[in-house]
Amino acid sequence: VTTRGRILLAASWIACRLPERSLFRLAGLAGDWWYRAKPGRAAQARRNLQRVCTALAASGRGSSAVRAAATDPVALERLVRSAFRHAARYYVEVARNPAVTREWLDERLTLDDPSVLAEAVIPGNASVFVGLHFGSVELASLFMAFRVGETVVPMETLDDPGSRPTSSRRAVAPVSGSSGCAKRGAN
Amino acid sequence: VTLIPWRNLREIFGVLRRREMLGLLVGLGLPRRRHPGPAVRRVDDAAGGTGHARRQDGLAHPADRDPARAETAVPVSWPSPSTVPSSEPAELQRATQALADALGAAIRVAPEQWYNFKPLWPDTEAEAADLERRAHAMQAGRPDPGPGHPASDASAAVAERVEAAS
Repeated sequence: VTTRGRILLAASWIACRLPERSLFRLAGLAGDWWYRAKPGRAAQARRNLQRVCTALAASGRGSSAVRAAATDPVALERLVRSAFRHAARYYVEVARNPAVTREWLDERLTLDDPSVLAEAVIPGNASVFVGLHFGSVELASLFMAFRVGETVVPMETLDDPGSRPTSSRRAVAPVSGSSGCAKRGAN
Repeated sequence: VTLIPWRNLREIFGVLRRREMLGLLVGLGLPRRRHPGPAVRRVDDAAGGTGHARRQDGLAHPADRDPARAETAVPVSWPSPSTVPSSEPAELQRATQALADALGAAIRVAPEQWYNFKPLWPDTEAEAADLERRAHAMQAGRPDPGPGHPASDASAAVAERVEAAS
């Protein structure tokens, strides 16, 4: 494990032991700092959100904040800043993955129609799940681990070999202690 | 969850032969990889080698994060399962569009909560037109010609007929 990998593991260990709400507040502050430090990144987010908000407002959809952002630069900037906060929060959630339990997931994840999942997952039948890498990969991984069962996922390898144990642990930790799933050829 | 390197096709087929669950994660955000139908095609190719082709009949649609409950909960809904009856280009394109529509419905609830830091749309009108042309080609039943390959006159005529009929 490289120094970078050790630092990531240590940060994850600490994050798992601090109150979640406080960490999210810290993530918000980090997001604000990130927003100010990366104007180019903010410009890209601004372009994307401007396009989305304009399209939604034109068709009468979206929340009031989204519709306002279509024409009001101040409202748009609030969304851009919020995007950075949520991105920072995402990293906190990733760091806290090893602490996630089945109860944590059940408390926060509500399935609109559980029968759809029951229909897709039939013991003894192979199923293929496809996820688009737009949102939190970890949430989908946790969902599969706790609600579906043993699942195999092909993953791209990381360039930094020292970080591989960190990323593998993120995905594997939720089930490794419960069902003895082996990590096979991971990262 | 067991991870395997994504290029290890032998292992992927092995999972399917053993009738185990397989999760595939498809990234679509990189501009140079824009494609009108990669998400479903990868699934179909993987399943096709094991006799399970054309069975993936429940396209799970993405999670929907409600901003009002963002601190405590993530509601997940599936608009309606999409059936992919075959690996024909038109079916792949239709299913991919259905996935994109479902994803759009999830994102519109709170677009600022999604990853916004990459160029997600075509940079130029020409690139947009090229993507549209490729989608039309697939709707007309032809394999995706790839970026920058002009369709033949006959193919373009078929695509126009499909567009006019839709």
